[in-house]
Amino acid sequence: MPFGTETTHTVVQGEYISLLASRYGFVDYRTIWDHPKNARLKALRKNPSVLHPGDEVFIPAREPKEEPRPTDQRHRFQVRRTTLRLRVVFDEFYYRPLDQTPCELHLASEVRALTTDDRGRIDQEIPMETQDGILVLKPTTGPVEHMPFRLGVGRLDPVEERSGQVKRLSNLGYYRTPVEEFDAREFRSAVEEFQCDSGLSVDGICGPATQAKLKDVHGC
Amino acid sequence: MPGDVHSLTPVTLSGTHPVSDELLLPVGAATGNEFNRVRLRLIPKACFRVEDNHFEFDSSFILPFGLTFNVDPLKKLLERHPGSKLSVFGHADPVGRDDYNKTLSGRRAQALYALLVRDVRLWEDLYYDHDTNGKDEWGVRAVQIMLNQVGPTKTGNVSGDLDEQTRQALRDFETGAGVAPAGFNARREVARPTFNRLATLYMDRICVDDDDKDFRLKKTDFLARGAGRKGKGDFQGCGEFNPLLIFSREERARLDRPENRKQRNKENEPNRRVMVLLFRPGSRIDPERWPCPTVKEGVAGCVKRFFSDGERRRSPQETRRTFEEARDDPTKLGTFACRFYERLLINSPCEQLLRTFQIRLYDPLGRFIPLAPCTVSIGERPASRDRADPRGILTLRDVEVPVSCTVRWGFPPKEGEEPVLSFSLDVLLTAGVEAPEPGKPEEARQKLNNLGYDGGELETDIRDFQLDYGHLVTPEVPPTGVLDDRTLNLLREVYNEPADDLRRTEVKG
Repeated sequence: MPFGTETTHTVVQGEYISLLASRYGFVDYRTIWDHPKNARLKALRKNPSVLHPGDEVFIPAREPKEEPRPTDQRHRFQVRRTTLRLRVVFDEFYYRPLDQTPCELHLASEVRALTTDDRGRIDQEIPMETQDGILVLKPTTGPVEHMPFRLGVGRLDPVEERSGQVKRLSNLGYYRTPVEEFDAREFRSAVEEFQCDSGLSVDGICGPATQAKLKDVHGC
Repeated sequence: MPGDVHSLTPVTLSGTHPVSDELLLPVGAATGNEFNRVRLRLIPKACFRVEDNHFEFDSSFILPFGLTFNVDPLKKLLERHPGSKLSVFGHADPVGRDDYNKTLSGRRAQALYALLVRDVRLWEDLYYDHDTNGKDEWGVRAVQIMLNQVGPTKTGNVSGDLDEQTRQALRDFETGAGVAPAGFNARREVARPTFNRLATLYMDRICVDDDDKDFRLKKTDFLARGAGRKGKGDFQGCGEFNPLLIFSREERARLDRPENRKQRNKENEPNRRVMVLLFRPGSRIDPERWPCPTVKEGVAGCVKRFFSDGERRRSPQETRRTFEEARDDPTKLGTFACRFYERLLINSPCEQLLRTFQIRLYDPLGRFIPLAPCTVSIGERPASRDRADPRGILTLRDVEVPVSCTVRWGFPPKEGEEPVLSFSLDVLLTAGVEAPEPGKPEEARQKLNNLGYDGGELETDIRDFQLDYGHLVTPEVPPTGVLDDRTLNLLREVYNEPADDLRRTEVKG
């Protein structure tokens, strides 16, 4: 996009603010996220990594930065980048976090050998435009089979949307049908089981209280 | 969709659950400090179902089928899925009170768990502590069955009648086993050291694989590693909350009438089962967080896990309902009230109704052939090799009816030799409702045919039958070729004998 043009971007599945920032040439996603014209979106979604297809994001015009320098010299321009992090915590049903567990993160350019910390977490900086990858858990104790997960970075929809509820319930092990397919019976059963495990009243309806709990338990 | 059935015997069913694909993990990339929680699913990879007829009726006492407990299919499953972690779920039928059924189903699960890990203390608990309204009292009969398996002398009867021969058999056992000769006490119980020794030997005798090798598991092979109080997480009773079959309201009312109790019990048979689930290798749980209550606890913990429409699910409705129909058709009401259990078993090949037929294989002299080798071809299925049980009974399961079936059988061959299948029979397998009306010549025709009298003229076949069996009753039935009442009764008796009570265990030796 040329300098000095503003636009409105309609979000498709898998897009999130950092990705848009990178794509539109901003080094800091906050230039977009904190822009007054995105205030309503920000209030609605709260998390810049959790957008919903169809959300409209205002993309402000980029200001060219002028910094006069003498020629014939080498100049260093330090680019200030905001980082994108992949943060996942693993645990087991009716057990505790999967701590000190080896795993592998396969990204487009590299494979990283990792180990979860004592709270079952991995916390990795990943390239700004990452949309997919594979994470393989390789437990040495506990469940001993290698478990591959196909990462969908930025594919977690807002919890107010049904797809966002399905995806969180899937990550938490309740919804067992592939998340791309909506299975009403499985969804209801998953919601009820989640409500039951979380001490909510069990009615199978994912209303505001259940949504809030879901977001809380899932972590975002 | 349900996975594959591996093994089907008259007393057990085993299979593998379908595998799920690689999981998509949608995550929000973090810009703040939020994490995405990913919880590993509790995945049952395989299942082993122990049928009702491996237990004493309305009791948790495990009977041998033939001479042993049919544990071989479980052993093979564990070879296929090494390192799996197990949990046992008992089920009762929907007759009687919820709390009674929870107790009985839990006691069956406890009995099976104890057998697998050889925890004889858990059997002692079942034997001495039977606060179940007088039901599930192992009593004299269990002692007789065990004595006949492992004692030096037989008891004669196994009907629970405490006669002198039974007392003698116990004395002989106590002497041989080197325990104090305490005999039976006033409550008709044996002493703890005696029970302990007897049950230990019985467990070792019956829990063997098909090669007669000892089979046992460790407590650490189970989900909670034996760490939970009262077996929490490792074995539990689901009561009558998860039936495979629920009668319609009208059927239920009819079957609840006293004269129909026997039929009701028969039809409810598939609901009475014990399920062993094999979870993904290394699976583990904190027993205190496990949803199922222990065997000793009431039903409250189960009810808490009910679907919001759980009561409706487990209650009779307008039509007869099955678990499978609801599984395959989302518009139908499920039959399991417990959400936790349904979610584990929804695609299990071990949760299905199987239509079972039993055919007893005889020689031309009317004597059944124990362990008769045979081939069976059902409908379009290719002929498969099979074998009758020690009582000559061949069990065909999972049969879609009506279908024609050809059985060829013979005598067990000498070691290393191929069997000669000299006899053959064509039968039409039909559902019970299609059986001919009693008393009509069609009934005699069908029964004679299945007994091998299919020469042609009914009169000839009747005469042949009278010649073969007439001498078995007094006064003898003469070979008249006429289908009179006595002949018909004899025919029914001979014909129905295979359906005699299979619970009466074969006495060894």
